[in-house]
Amino acid sequence: MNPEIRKLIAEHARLAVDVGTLADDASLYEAGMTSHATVNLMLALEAGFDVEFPDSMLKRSVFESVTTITAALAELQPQV
Amino acid sequence: MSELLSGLTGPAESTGPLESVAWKIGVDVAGPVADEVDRESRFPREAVEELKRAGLLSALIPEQLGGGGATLAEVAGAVRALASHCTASALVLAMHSIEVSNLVRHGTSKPLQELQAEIASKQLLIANANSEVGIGGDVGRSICAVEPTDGGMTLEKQCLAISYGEHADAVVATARRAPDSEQTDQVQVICRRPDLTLEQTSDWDALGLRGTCSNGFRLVAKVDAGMIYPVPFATIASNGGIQASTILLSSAWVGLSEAAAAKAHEYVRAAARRSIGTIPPAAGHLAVLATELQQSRGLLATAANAFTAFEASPEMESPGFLASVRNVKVSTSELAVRITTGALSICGIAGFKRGTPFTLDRQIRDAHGSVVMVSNERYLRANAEMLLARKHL
Ligand SMILES: Cc1cc2nc3c(=O)[nH]c(=O)nc-3n(C[C@H](O)[C@H](O)[C@H](O)COP(=O)(O)OP(=O)(O)OC[C@H]3O[C@@H](n4cnc5c(N)ncnc54)[C@H](O)[C@@H]3O)c2cc1C
Repeated sequence: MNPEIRKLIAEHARLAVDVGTLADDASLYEAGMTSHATVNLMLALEAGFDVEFPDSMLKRSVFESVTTITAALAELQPQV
Repeated sequence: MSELLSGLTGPAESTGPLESVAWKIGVDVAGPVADEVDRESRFPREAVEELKRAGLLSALIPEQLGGGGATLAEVAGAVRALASHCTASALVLAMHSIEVSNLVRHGTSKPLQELQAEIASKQLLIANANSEVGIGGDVGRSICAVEPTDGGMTLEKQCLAISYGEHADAVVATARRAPDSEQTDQVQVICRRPDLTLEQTSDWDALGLRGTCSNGFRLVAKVDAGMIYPVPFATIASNGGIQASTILLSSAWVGLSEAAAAKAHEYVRAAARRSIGTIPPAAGHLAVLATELQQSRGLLATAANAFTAFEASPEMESPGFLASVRNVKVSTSELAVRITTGALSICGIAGFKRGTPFTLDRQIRDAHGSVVMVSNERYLRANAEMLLARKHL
């Protein structure tokens, strides 16, 4: 799951740095992800992983890092 | 319901304790000089002195720190009551209270607790410098940064507008965390006198809301590490900041609308006394105006009471509540424009002229400020974007 998440971050989060240089738990916001980019990333994650983030998960903390996104996706797709 | 904001009636009737104090300050002090404050575009110092005397600047601070322990809904009631007499005075209370609300929610460190106690004991006035030249109202980004210097830190910011900046004891500003931080990696810093200088860069000769004295400034401050919030600015904003700000600003728009509607009502009653037995033609317009005023009051009361209910709940940050408070600000400001101009069509030439009891000059100009004081377009755009992610309307 991790490489696919990183690919979507690279395509949609519009970070100021290469996501490859970031640790899994590094803050994407600190790396320059705006709220606009967060929405785009969420849409790409929904399309890429065939999930829907419920409104209760639409919080900044959920999209904070590769680690938090992985945890959220795991919660949405328990089989993965 | 007596202590909370009422969605059905005006502040004269629904007398929460803070609301009635603010109403009295409006009648005795702020109202009588409101036209002068507007004409001269000057700080409403008399009203702010009275707010201090009444302890209203620390109403939101917990009682154990010396404050009033009031809810946001109660302070919203006070802002609304004052706005019926002088929108600029009410906005000073509103903007200051936004900062205090954030301090109460996120100022958990010892220095920020001590600051709250000091605000209460000295009735300090806090202003805001989030918006920045080159970025405008997009407060989720900053150009300026907290810079390390030998022996400390400094901040220099080109501020688009700092309402009542010259009269404030402290100015809260967003900035990038460090010189190498991205624009979205923001902290919020409280800059205090005497370590703060404001050099005016633009003046405030505005269409309305002239007493807010929202000049542009170059802010230069020595930053005390204890005066930086312990959480990122994004957390302050999404966890109570945007909500408190939209609700408190909306309170001013509702109070302003009530002032205009009250003039129209008085005008119609005077006409009815002159022609007893017939319904004056303008009475029908007034009935329409009353439905708009009720919408505005109801929107505000629901949001303000929800804020109080969500104070310690994750619901505060939910996308639904965030979108709804933005909607309340957009709606109450657009309704303020509608209600003030509607009142003009009722009062006619008596409303159009200055110096009559029915003049609507100041209210109509102030109402147009409500639409740009945090751009409605920006809020609608934020909500449009959020709707792409939300699953429920
Ligand atoms: C009375 C008053 C008092 C103020 N006091 C303060 C203060 O004390 N401290 C402070 O920091 N600021 C203050 N401000 C500034 C305020 O917070 C906003 O930053 C400012 O009103 C926005 O300025 P703007 O309209 O130029 O910029 P923007 O918000 O950038 O918007 C300009 C216009 O561009 C369009 N636009 C821009 N971005 C978008 C978008 N994303 N989506 C859709 N449309 C968009 C909209 O049509 C908008 O009206 C005050 C403003 C007023 C009117």
